[in-house]
Amino acid sequence: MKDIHAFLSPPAEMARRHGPHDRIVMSSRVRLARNLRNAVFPGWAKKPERLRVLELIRPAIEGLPEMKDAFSEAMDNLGALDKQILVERHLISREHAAKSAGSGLVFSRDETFCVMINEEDHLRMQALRPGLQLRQVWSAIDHLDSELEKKLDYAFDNDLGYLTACPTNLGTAIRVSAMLHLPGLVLTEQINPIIQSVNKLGLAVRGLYGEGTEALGNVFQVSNQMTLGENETAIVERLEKVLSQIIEHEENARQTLLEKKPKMVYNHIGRAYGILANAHSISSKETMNLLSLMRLGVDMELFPGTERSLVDELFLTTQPAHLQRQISDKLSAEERDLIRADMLRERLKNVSRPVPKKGGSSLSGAAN
Amino acid sequence: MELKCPRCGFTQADFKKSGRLGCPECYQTFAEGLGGLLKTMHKGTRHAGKTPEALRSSRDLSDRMKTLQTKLAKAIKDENFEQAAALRDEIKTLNDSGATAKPAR
Repeated sequence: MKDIHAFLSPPAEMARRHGPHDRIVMSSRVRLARNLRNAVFPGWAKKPERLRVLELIRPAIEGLPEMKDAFSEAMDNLGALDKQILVERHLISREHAAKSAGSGLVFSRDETFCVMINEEDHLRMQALRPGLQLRQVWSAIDHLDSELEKKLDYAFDNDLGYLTACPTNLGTAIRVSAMLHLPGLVLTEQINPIIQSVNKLGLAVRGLYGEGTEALGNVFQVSNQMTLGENETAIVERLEKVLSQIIEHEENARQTLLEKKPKMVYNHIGRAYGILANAHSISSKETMNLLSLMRLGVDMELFPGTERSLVDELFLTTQPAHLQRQISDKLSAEERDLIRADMLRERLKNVSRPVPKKGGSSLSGAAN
Repeated sequence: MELKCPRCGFTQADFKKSGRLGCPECYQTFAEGLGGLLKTMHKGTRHAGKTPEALRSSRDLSDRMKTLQTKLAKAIKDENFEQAAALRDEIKTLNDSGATAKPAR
């Protein structure tokens, strides 16, 4: 079996991957659900049937050209920490991390493609890329799916499309989503009305780890909800349109903040830097929220000489499993908070404090 | 008696509890109850997206058949018997040619 840690690319390298609009769009993803015609869905199947399905699907995926030199493993061979690391990297869902015997995972060398076997459906395949690249991820996963359908007998119905364990995914069984960093909309308190209007368009807005999770670090996931009665391209294009509007609102919010409330923004960013660079104990949640403000500061060019990739790398490496992984002893949450603070102080030691932009006079700011 | 999937033994009560179905065949078993539910969940009730290559011809066939049958019903209603007879022939030809590539259901 391959060592997953030797296989996964280092966080520093991950953070340097770029894509269009990655100031605001952290990543784009398309996920397809597929099931085998002659098998019970994973949630209802007994263990022998799940194992049979896993043994049928796993070699089919491993044989795809996209999966050359892939990482492939049964979920019962991965430890709790490894699974959590995969969740923090958005390679698997939290639901899949809870799976054991009878479930599996295959992901490509570059971590662009990932297939979960026996999650809620027999197959959940995703393509993931940095920045705004919805069409590209759709066409990539579409191609992988077309290769796979030659080897596996999918459950498909002429009227209902791809049959899924949950009727909410029926039809195209597609979920198109983008992960957005929206500190400007949060600071200007425009985020809730925007979420509501996005919801009205039939799109879902979720937190960092998907369904039922908090928007830690001002990161929001926007995705389609309806899958039946509309084709994949229409779904991708509709999401694309809404995303370009959200991007515009976020850019405007940032501009407005700098023009109308510079002191408020500098205060938030300065305090975030102050705590991150000087704390001796800090939780994962506080870290993410403060790193978000620092990321905003980098985008606003308040940290000359500091790359956004440093912030993005810390966003990943300070999360619980990634942090635990760097230490051989098992840590309690409190001990992790100390180590996390040590790491942040060390990594931010050469980052000088934020410099307010010239032109945005501090006096006019104070008058507001 | 409670509705139960003949293939996997999943019941209506199981569906109510979990919101998930037991197997692909459950969609036929519980078709009646699902119809209304799908309408509230989705944009439409008929699949409009990708179709596996191997089933594509049969899907075209079934689409064509549906169109012809709608036309036939209209012709009969309008008492346009000449057209109805022509449509009936066309349906018969299509049926015979599709005998080897019948749709899944």
